This record gives sequence, C-alpha cells and structure tokens, in this order.
Amino acid sequence: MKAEPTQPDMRDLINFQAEAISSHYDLPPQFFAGFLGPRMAYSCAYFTDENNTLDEAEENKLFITAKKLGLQEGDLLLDIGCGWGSFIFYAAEKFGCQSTGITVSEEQAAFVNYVAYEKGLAGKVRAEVVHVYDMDFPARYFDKIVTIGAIEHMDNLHLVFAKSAEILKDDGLMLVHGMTKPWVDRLDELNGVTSEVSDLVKEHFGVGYWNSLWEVMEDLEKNNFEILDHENITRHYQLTVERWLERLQENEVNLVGKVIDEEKYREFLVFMAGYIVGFETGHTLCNQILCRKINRGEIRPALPLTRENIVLSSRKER
Amino acid sequence: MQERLTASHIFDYEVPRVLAEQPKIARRVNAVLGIELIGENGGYWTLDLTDNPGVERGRTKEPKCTLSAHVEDFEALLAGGSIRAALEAFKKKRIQATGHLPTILKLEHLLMSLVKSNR
Repeated sequence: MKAEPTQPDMRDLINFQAEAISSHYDLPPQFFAGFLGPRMAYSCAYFTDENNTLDEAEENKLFITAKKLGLQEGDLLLDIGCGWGSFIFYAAEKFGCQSTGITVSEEQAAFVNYVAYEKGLAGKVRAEVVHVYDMDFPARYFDKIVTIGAIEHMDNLHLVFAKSAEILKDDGLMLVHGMTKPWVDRLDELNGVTSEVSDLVKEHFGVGYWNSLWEVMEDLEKNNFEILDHENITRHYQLTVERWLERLQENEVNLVGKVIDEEKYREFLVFMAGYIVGFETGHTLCNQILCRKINRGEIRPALPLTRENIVLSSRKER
Repeated sequence: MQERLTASHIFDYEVPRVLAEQPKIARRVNAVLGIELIGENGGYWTLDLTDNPGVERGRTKEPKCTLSAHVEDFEALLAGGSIRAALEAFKKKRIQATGHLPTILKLEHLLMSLVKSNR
C-alpha cells in the first residue's frame, strides 16, 4: 500500500510559524517535523500492515479513531490535548465536524488557529488555551470527545473524566487513547519503588503519569461512562516509534547544529530506542478505549451487534 | 572495595559466565552485537545473544548493532552501574552506536547482571 499525498503537508506550514511554535520540550517544531509524519501527529499511528509507511499509518490512525467515534457531519467534537491539531483538522475536513481543541500550549493553539485560517476552516476548527482541569464548556454540549496521547500528562484522570462527562451529551461517545503501564510496574511505583529509567523518562518529558489500564477504566466507569471497546495498540506504537527513529537518524544532518544541539538529538535517539524496547518488552503499553456516557434510566441505544464499525481492515477502506 | 573489571576480563570471562548461568538474558536480546573497545586491553568481541549464546573475539558474525567506546570510558561506566551516566556518555559521544539502536539498550540486563555479580 502506497501513501497517497492527498493532504497538505503540515510540516511546510510549520515553517511559517517557526518562531511562534514550541513543544512541551521547548524545542523548535522543525525538530519534530524532522521525524513526524505530514499531519504532525505526535502519538501512536495505526498499522494495517507491517510495511505501512508512517504517512499511511498516521492516516490510518486518524481514520480508525474517527470511525470508532462514529463522526458525522455537524458533530460538535472536543479534542483534549489537541497538539498541532491533526485530529480536529481531520474531523472537520473529512467528516464536517465542528472541532474544538484545547491545549496548554499557547504556541500550539496559535498554530492551529493560524492553519485553520489559512485553510479557510476558521469557522470549523479552533483551539483554545485551556487546562483540562479548567474546562468550562456548557453542560451536554459536545457530541464526541477524544483525547489522544495526553492522559500521560494528567495526574487526575478522575477529574478529567468527570468534567468530560459534564460537557458530553447523553449517549455521547468518548475515545481515550493513551499509554499505560502493566499493573506490576504500577504497583512498584505506588509502593515507592523507583527506577533510574522511569526517573529519566519523567525528566525527558517534563511530566509523566502512567496508570495501569484498569485504573483508567475505573476512572471512566466511576464517572458514568460505559466501556464499549478496548484495543491494545502497543505494537502499533512500537512500529510508530521505529519509523520516527529511522526518520530522525535519516535527518541528522539537517537537524544537528541547525535546529537542535547534538546532545539533545542524541538524547532523543536514546529515548526513542528506549520506548521501542519498552513496547517490545511490555513495560509500556498503549490503548484506545471507546466509551459512552450513560444516560441513566433511559433505554440503552441499539449499538451495532458486531465490531465492524470499529475495526480497520487491511484492505484500503479510507 | 571491589577491583574494577577490565574490558578484556569482562568479555573473555564474565559475560560467558553470566550467559551460561542465565541464558534467559540472551533470549531477551535475541540478536548478535559487536563490542568495539579502543585502547589498552581493548579489542572487538562478537556477542551472540540468541538461542545458543556465546562470546567470541573478533568480528565473527554480522552484528545487528555495534557499541564502540574507549576502554577507560566503558570500564568506568560498568564500575558505576548507572544508566544516567551511560546516557550522558552517549550524549557526549563517549559511547557510539551503529546499527539498530534499540538492541544496544537491551544490553542493560546483561551489563547490570555483571555489575550486581561483581559487587
């Protein structure tokens, strides 16, 4: 399967805003553009085939995520931790959703709003600088909520899901995509057992909270969500980071000394390699959890009987 | 105080001993690696960390990845047993790696076993 260059390359747009955008690592976005795919999605892609390119897998991830959420034209969508806006643009462009993203990064929000303006999507896509704990949208406002690769930066998932439940319509769908760790490792952490590796990872990413899967699900259920589906996508993340690492190494000459210093570049090499090993050995996991806000006392909607609506076949479906 | 292990002693004696005692460590890596240590008592070792693990002097098999360092730097890291120090050494290019980088990181279990067994 070959990549189809149907989308504008957001890496090009980034160059216009180069000075304005920064990542949570305070590194220039050109650095991230040096290894991410065209959508600048800094999270797990989705492979229908081991030979998928990163660009193909990035598109697959956006599509399967949209499919699980059952996005429809006119849906009011919230993306918690929208990054550079890959999913909210996709939802608006492909499905006609009214997309709102929140981020704690002023630079990322500025970038999203700038790109929305450039694409003529200012009325369809917008990003706000709001911390997830401070979300203040009207009750039962959104049809769908998604959070992709952001729960790792949230220390209070109970609060996040409580606030999400408030602003989601009854029977509305939420998709939580994020990393977890096995319970045995989590238990060590809860018991105060630390490791050099986990300390280094937290230092590298600034902040990090890796719950076990059941803790995430417990917080969802306690906040009136019914789990509809869980998919372990750990292998997909391993393949994703392998592609990132390849691109990072291929782009060394374009990045080192021009965009970042060599030590930071080599630090990223090690952490990417470490994540690959972490996924391969099962110390780090990645999941997509699809859930529905329960409308207590009301008739449960007649949901599909099979999983066809939430799987992506290896055949080209998009 | 434990005497610092020399690189040649590590790869000629200690690594084969650990692999014989704990072959599971090799299966976790499941690859052939090259170790190139430059300086006095240095050399090149091929570590076959697959189903029939073993260590040989020289480049006897095609490695999936190769770790290169000066003997003194490598010995100091092993004596310290610190992953943070290893990261800093890599960032400052005192440890070099070619080939499949994740495989190099899998040496952690083997090297930490050496550190523990010699403390």
